[in-house]
Amino acid sequence: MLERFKKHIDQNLPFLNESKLLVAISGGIDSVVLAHLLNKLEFDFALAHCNFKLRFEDSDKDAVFVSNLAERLTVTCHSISFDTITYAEKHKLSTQMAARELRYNWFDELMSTAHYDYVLTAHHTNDNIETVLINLTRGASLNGLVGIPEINGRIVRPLLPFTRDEIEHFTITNNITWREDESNQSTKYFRNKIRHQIIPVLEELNPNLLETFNTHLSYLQSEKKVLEIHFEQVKKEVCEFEGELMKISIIKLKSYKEYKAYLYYMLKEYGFTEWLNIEGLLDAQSGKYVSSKTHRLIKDRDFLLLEENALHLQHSRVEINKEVTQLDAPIGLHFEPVDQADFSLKNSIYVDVDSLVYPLHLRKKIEGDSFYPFGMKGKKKVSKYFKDEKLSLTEKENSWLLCNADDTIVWVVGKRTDARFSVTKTTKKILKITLN
Amino acid sequence: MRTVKKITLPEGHNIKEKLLQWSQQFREVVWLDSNNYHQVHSSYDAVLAVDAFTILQTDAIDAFDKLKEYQSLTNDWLFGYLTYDLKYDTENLKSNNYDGLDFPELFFFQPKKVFLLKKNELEIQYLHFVDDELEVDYEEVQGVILIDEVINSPVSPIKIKLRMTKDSYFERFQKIHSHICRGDIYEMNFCQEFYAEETKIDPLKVYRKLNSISNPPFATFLKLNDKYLLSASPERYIKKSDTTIISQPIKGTAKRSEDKVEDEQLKHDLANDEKERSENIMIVDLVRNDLSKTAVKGSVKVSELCKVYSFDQVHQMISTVTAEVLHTKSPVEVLRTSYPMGSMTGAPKVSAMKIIEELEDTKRGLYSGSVGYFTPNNDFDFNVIIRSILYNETNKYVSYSVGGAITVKSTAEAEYQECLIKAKAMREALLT
Repeated sequence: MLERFKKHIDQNLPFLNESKLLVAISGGIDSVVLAHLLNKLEFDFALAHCNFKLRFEDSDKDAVFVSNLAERLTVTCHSISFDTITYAEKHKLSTQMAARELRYNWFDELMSTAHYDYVLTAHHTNDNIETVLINLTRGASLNGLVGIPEINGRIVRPLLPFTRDEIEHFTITNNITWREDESNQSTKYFRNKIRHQIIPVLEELNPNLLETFNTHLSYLQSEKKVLEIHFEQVKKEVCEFEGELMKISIIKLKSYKEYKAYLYYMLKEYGFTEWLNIEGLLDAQSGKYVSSKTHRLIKDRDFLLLEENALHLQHSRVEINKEVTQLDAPIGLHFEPVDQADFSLKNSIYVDVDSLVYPLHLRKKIEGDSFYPFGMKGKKKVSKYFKDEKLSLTEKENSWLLCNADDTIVWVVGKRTDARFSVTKTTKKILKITLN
Repeated sequence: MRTVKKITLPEGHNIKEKLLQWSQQFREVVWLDSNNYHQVHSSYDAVLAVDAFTILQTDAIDAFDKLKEYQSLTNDWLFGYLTYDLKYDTENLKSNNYDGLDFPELFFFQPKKVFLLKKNELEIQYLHFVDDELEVDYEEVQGVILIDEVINSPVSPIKIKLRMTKDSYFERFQKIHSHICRGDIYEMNFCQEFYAEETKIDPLKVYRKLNSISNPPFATFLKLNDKYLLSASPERYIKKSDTTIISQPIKGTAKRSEDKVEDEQLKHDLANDEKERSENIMIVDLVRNDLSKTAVKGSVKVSELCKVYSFDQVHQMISTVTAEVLHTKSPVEVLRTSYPMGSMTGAPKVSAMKIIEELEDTKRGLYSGSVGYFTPNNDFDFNVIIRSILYNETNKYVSYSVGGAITVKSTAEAEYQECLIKAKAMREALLT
């Protein structure tokens, strides 16, 4: 196995030879074997062990085992303890998800502070086939069916082409000990069912199951790459980009029979989960939208607009001093004293300088904002004004309010001035403010 | 709200000439001169508004809405014009005809400086923005040395062309006649343009000349940066004072004679000319209909029907239609519902305007539109832009249009001759 492992690295993962590696080690058979293989081939590596405190004494014994192993292999050992249960409760995660998040955050931290290039995990062929079968059973897209990626960012899985039998055989011939993972028997019910009851049946039907699986998985992976190239071409054709905004043409999209697949591809990285609602958007009224944590997809006539949630801007506030003549962010505003007011211009307002209280500031609408719209009678809530002007949700959220120091609204930027600040017969000095 | 200064002028003052010449330094100028007609309905002898404090300039789309908002917001003196093509806003009729003048379709401004003249009383109204300049300005006006027109630069030869040939005028006349016979319309105002390209004129001088030829009661000098209107308008479109609206359409023209007896006879003949009277009455009917849209029920009246007034150049038949509106009615609504004025369209209005667009070659623009003002009290007074020269200094384009009402009794030759008579004053003002 050592020979095959070395050959596999040299052929497929040669960059590992010159890298500083961190091995994620639980103390179980797979990760211990990985550490021994790397040690025999004299790689530059360290161990990283997480104690999740999920199995009480056993967890602590794992930690001791790993530290002894590191001593024997004369490599550095990083170890850490997590209060996984508390973390999971606090972040409303399952224990497994919590452990995963804690582990990878710690690896990231170690890699940047202790300068490791890659993290190695000990997933092997049996893990891979089990994962694929689990995904298949639970329902998955192509991504789930091509198995565990060998390289995923800075995580590398060099044992993927090796089977559990090979790994066990290696421990026997090399007299290697490891810690049995108790949770194998209880928490991983689904995986164990597949491991012990399904795969043996499949192996009866095809004695070379694992080998066949590895070969065909690699075909499938290349096919997936071809498909991605095609997807990218369609995306280019169907989507337009306006700054941060992605516009998907519904007409162009629907000219493809399998338009749902394309849509899924274009949106998968934005964290959407409600796919049926997204399909529904295609035929919905303008203004309907579906949100993910980070993004929002809005129906706008013949387009679906994808944009980042503007919520993070909701509380920002920019001060503008009397001396400012040009503001560039978050929107462009130009301030200029003039002696004539042109009411025909759309993006400019003219205000009576004496009615302003500096520093002015730009902010978003908050609940209860109201103003005296120029050209209308009396006071109006900004929210009501937005509604009457039939602004889309995006337009509403992108609207800025220019306010006096005392927070009275001077201008709903790009829309209406407040009548209290407009130029009148008694005005002595005029300030022109232009949105650009 | 304005700083006001009232001055009593000595007898024989020439303040009008001085004011007009002094005003030329400003970008925006409106000068309205009633040439001492002192009619029943005149408010001032002359009005000058210069230097915009705020402006509204727009194409026809939603123009009346914008004007309404602008007028109610500023609630101050507003001077400006409405072009004929605002019909696109009122009646959804757009013009694709030729336009060498390129005036905005609606323009109004709130002047920083207003001068109101009535007999010997000059009232000067300045916004606070510039009220420190009032005294200096008035001294400047008094000190104006009038440019002697004789020693003014020699006239460069101007080549005036016809947009429509005589043959095609006759051809279109026949088409209008058959529209009338078919019942699409019963009267239509048909106009043609005279123009000169690559021409530079001295607007003030041409205006003075034009005004001296006709001495009309609604003379107008308007300047908007590089665009000029020089008008010898004899006609009021509409006026509002308090709650009373009056409109005074002119239809029916006769020449004048040096001989007093003959002149009286011409006047008498006009007053009794069946064709001219019917032209006038058709339009009176249309105006009554327009005013009824905003008037208090039962208040629309014809206070004068087909009365002949004599001007320096011509006798004209004028009718006066009056109506009452509520205090709460926006003045702009009264304009919106009566625009364009019937004397420049024909009747029925929409049908006539469609045929005008089809058969005329020039986009009418400010010609057959209206210049006037709103007061701070929501009153207004607007004239009809005819007998006028329009000039775009940048494009070096000079234009004047003339036209007449065609009814079933009109003949092509007589109408064409009438056009040439009407064009005579403008031609003379430009060429001599």
